[in-house]
Amino acid sequence: MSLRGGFPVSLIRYVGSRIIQSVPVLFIIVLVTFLLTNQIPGDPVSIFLSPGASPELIAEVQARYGLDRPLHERFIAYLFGVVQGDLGYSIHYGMPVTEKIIERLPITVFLTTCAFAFAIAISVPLGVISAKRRNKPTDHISRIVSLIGVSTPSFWIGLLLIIIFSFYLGLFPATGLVLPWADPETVRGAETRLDILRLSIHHAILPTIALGTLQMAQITRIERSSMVESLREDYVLLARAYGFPERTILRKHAFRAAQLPVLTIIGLGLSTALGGAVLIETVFEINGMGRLIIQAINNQDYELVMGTTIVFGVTYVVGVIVTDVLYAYVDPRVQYGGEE
Amino acid sequence: MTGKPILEVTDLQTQFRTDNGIVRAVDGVSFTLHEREVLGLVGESGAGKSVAIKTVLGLIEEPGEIVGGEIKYKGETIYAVEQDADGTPRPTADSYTDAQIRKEIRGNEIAIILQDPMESLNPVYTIGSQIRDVIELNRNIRGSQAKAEAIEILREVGIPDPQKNYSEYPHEFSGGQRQRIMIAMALACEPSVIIADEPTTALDVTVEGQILDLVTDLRNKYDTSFIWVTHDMSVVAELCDRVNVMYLGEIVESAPVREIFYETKHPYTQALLRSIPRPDVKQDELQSIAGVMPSARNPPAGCRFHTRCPAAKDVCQQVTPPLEDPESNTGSTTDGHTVRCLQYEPFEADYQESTYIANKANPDGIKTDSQLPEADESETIDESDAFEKTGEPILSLKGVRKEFNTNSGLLGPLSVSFSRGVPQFEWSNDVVTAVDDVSLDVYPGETLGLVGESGCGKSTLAKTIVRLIEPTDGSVMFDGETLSDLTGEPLRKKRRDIQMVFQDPHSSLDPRMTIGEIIGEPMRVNKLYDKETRRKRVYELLEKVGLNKEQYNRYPHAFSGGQRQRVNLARALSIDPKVVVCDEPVSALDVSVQAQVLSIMKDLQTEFDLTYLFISHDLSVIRQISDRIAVMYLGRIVEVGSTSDVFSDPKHPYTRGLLESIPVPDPDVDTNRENLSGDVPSPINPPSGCHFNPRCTAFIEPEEYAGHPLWDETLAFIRAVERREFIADSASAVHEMFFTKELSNDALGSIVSEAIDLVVDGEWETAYERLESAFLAPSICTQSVAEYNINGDERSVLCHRYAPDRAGFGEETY
Amino acid sequence: MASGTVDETVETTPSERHNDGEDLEKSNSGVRYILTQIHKDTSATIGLYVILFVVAVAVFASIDYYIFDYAFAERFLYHPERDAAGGQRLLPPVGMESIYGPGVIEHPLGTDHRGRDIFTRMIYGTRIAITAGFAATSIGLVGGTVIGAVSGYYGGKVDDLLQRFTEALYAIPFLVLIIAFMTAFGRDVTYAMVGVGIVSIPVFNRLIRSRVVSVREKEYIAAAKVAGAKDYQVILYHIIPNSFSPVLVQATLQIGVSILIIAGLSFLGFGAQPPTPSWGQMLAESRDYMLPAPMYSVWPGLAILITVFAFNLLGDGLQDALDPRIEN
Repeated sequence: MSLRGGFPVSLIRYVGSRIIQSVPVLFIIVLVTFLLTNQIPGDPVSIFLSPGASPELIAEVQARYGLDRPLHERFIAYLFGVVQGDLGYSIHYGMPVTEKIIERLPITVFLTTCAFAFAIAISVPLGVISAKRRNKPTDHISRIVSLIGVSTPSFWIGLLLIIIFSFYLGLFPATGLVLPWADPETVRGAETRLDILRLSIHHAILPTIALGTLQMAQITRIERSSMVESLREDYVLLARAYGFPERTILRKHAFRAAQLPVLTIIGLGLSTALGGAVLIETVFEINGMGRLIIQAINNQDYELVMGTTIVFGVTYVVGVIVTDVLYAYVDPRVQYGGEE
Repeated sequence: MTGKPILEVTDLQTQFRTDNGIVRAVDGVSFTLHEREVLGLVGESGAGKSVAIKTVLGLIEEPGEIVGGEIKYKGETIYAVEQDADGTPRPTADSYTDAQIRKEIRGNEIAIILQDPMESLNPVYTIGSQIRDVIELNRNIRGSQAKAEAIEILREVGIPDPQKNYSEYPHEFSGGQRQRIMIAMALACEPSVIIADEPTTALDVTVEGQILDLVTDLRNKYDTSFIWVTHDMSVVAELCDRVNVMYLGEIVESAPVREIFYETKHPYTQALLRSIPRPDVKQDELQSIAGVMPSARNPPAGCRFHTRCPAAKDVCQQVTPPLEDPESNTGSTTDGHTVRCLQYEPFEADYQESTYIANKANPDGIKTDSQLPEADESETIDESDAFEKTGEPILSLKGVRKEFNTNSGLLGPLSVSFSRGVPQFEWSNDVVTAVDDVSLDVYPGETLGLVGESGCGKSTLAKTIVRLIEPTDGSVMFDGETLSDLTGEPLRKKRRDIQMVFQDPHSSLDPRMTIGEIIGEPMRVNKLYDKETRRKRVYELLEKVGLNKEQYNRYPHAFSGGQRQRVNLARALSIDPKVVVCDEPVSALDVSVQAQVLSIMKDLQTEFDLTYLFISHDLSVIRQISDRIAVMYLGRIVEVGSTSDVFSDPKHPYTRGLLESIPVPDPDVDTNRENLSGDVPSPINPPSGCHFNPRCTAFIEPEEYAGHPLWDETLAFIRAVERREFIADSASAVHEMFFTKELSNDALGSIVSEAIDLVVDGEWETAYERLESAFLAPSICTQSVAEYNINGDERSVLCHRYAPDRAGFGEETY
Repeated sequence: MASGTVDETVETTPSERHNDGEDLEKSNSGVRYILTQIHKDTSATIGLYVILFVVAVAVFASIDYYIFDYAFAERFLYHPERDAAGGQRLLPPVGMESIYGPGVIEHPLGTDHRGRDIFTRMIYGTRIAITAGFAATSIGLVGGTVIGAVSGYYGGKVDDLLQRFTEALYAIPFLVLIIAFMTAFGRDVTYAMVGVGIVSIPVFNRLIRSRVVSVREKEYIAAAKVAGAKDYQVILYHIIPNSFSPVLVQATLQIGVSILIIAGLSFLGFGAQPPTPSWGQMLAESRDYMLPAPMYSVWPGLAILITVFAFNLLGDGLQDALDPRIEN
């Protein structure tokens, strides 16, 4: 495979136009979130203040939080804040929402990235082998396994993993997550960077498997059907007719073009995985974005719910842009439209 | 023959196991390819040609298997099949192993070119790397040396800028260029044999011609043998030395090319040849082969052609004829003229008389009565040159224009670029003008043929006429009313009078409706007649198009392509239209079926008093069916005239080039394609002025060089520089290549010699820019579009050469 | 559907057939045809029967609940009078031992943290799973079909606006969106169904739209228009029947996905509220007893797995049976 040198101008243009295209999407995310959160029953002021507060005090607090203004004005004000990175103030934690999210977001991103790394590392070879040995026993087994994979609730896998590997075998911890770049002084039981890394891997394995299984199964299925399709293409026939060995055909001629649908499904799977993170963080008691949103809801912490929802959306959009760029990198035809 | 045998195939048998039984796709095929020979393998779709060549290369995959035969390459058996004890076929011990065939035969000895160059080049790798990989695999060259070799071969096949094109992707090339790249890949292996599987079928006729020329050149240069698989007898006539005609998995006739055409023996070959419309002569009859090819799953017993053979006797149903040479009786199957027919001699007298013999005797194509074969009348196309335009046009287009936006959507036209990290926004909207100011009259009762290459806008024009799409500008007058002004109910009423027959027999019938429902649909949606009457009318129409009423309740999947096109016709006629727009109605059909459908269309025209607007890319078909012809190029109609006038005396340079480039199904007719080179430009950014100017050999010189004696040679030089067609070693060599005389001592001479020097220095682009600004840009051809000029009464030509104020500057100088 | 069932017995003589495999084309619609195809596929048949069984159980549970007030459950599944264990907490399945004692035959799968029979609760859990799965999918199917068909058929600005909107809807990870939605409107299972339905609109929309866009380009659509058919006739007679089969496949798969999401929501406490049993909620409750009573966490998950797996088996089988590539 010949990698093209550097990122051509057209690719940069493509990235630019993709970012521009997602602006309206981001706007709608903020709008939908804002409207939904404003539907939440229960006045946040009443939560913040004791029941016997005087009307003046209520009015003052409402004014401070801008709740006395009409909805559209509040939305515009909020939107301006969002654009500047200000997602409001968390009543429960007593700190700006943005700060809280900056604290939690890396954990969720790390977990999701691990899950995809795990999923891709297993599914791509499995799908390719399955396609190569189509309708042979290997293929049947891999198909059934991946079908079970897409049918199993991720949080249940988490529970089973905890029961087996933490409680019975005692191999891995049942709760928590350590970021590999965490400061050794803030982590209990760690003294060196190496300790951190070891702890990080140790903690990450079970949640990664729980979150990644669905993606793995999904990608295996797509990889298989896409490779089957690709192996039927004329250019594969041609490669055979020119005497390329099967191995080269599989790894090179058929493989690259077959990754396009796979990238698409990874992009779509991001949504499932980020949502799944909410479940997995709950199961493994990991303090990431998912647990944050559930806690925020239970504490009726309004602006924090809004902020986390929006950041979830933004994370997804960024992930999709990354896969789109990868797609454009694999498929030269995509950028073509961008060139003069 | 020219050389020793290089590839010998004996009694090859390949079958596919399917749920519904065994399909013997190739059933006892034998042929021999000699050195430096082009061997044609001809047959209609389903004859087993492709399977046969895949078998030769060992590319048959599950559920296919080779169950018999032997393949010898250069005298050595590379593959032979024997039956083991329990009757299962397996390769013999002296056959090459899979790995051996892969390493020693494929690519380096036998290379292949496939039909669709878009599908067979890998879209995600550069063309250069694909060719380099093939070189590295099959020859002992690696790295930069292989790259240099690849570039050299790309140049060889006429890729304009191989250095740059090397690192481009397949989608950046046109169809013709991609097929050149495929040829380059095949040549890069330096094989002894190249197998080409319908390599020009997907290409436009002018591009096909260029590819055929290229192959002819290369074959002389490299001493390569070819197996050329095709369904097109014209290609065979032009290219092949020897021809094998296949029918239902068997070779039915094998002979040197001239004998196939002039001493045809097998009834199938004869019928096939008769059903081909010819572009060079107007045929008085076009005979079709009855029925369709039976399924290979269940081939007829005895002679496989007997179900369709006009000369079949009882014995043909029982005895399977061998493939043998009737004259020598040696039983040799690969030399001489062999035929698989029980009664190759004597045929009935009228059968022997091929139209080709007639044509040969009378090369001008003028028929005398005595040469008219007395074939059965019902299956012939009745041609009358003497169509008289009467009265007012029934359909009249005035300045019709259709533009499409290439960027649609909310933010589609918005593009962004970065300059030093700062985003720059751009609001741009590319417009493709698919139909550009077309005016055309269609008279009652005539057939107007609209011809053009793919992408010229002819289908868009058809859709605009039936109001499937709205014109951007201009008007369509029908029967005295302006269609484009009508809306609602009056439009729906009027629309009934213009119906359409579509191109693709697979997508034009709703797979979930019965044939009866499909034909009755126009009546139903227009609420015409009651249910019973509709049913009766559908029965009538079925019979009229040669189907029967039992087929009323069948679904389209049970019908062949030809039958589906008949259903299409019946549907269009169900509400008694006056005009039928036929958009490539026979292009998707095999040639023998084509003739059937055309002849039905002719009959129906008389019976229903129809006017046809017949759209096709195939000049031969157009010639056979049209009274008048309109030629379209890049959205404009460049020439209109009566069929006989246009064919005998084409005026527009494009029409001339187009007519020249069509291969003729006759080995004795030479095709001269000097006047049409290059690809059709993209309609997104068409050339200014006359759209044809970059390909035109009759390009008019700018005023200041009017009548310059060196103009023609200069023009040829400019074109060659543009396409980088030659290797520039020294100024004198280049000069010699293009100019017969010394360069004149004027402005033209000095610019040309300047350009020659630039070219020798490798500054192609600068040289071309210099020439372009001096000679092309100031010309009237790049500056304005000509008016439609009427020569005499009936002819209009969109060319500056025929401008009225250029009297005397017309035909003589060109 | 326009064509109803397909005449399977279409007789074609060889001479009528165009060779080269065109006759693979099938006019494949109609319930009878689909069933015949499924029966050729063992795994799809198994899936179908498992689904029928789970649906039957759900119907049984519903009848018992609404009409007989748990009479059947108490009599046949769970015997309060005959219950030797007498509401003992966290009993293991029959045949196993734990610190809470040995499993008993009256509670074949054991009891939960409040001494209720796990098997009975699982039977009742089918109600939520099946109802929610079908209801949510129907909402998504109807919404997605309408949006997809309109935007695919008309194209242009309408299309662009609708597509951008559904894209944005898809841009918030759907579990988060449903949680936000349920926080705003209510935590009950009804809102869960509506929420899941809404987030599956983009799935159907995308599918229908692409299908309509490809069908729209077919020449038979142009032929109908040229013949004078009105838009609604084109949509009704041609577009919908020809877009149907992939939707059927997706709907089957989507029921499985919906069941998974609903279970996830229940697990987080958004969904069926106690005491109404649902599988997700049972799993949530079991979390506190994973160490002493691990099997409690196994059963509800297994029920989800088997049900969803059956829908996926059937969906896969349908996909093969209705493959559009065979059609062309």
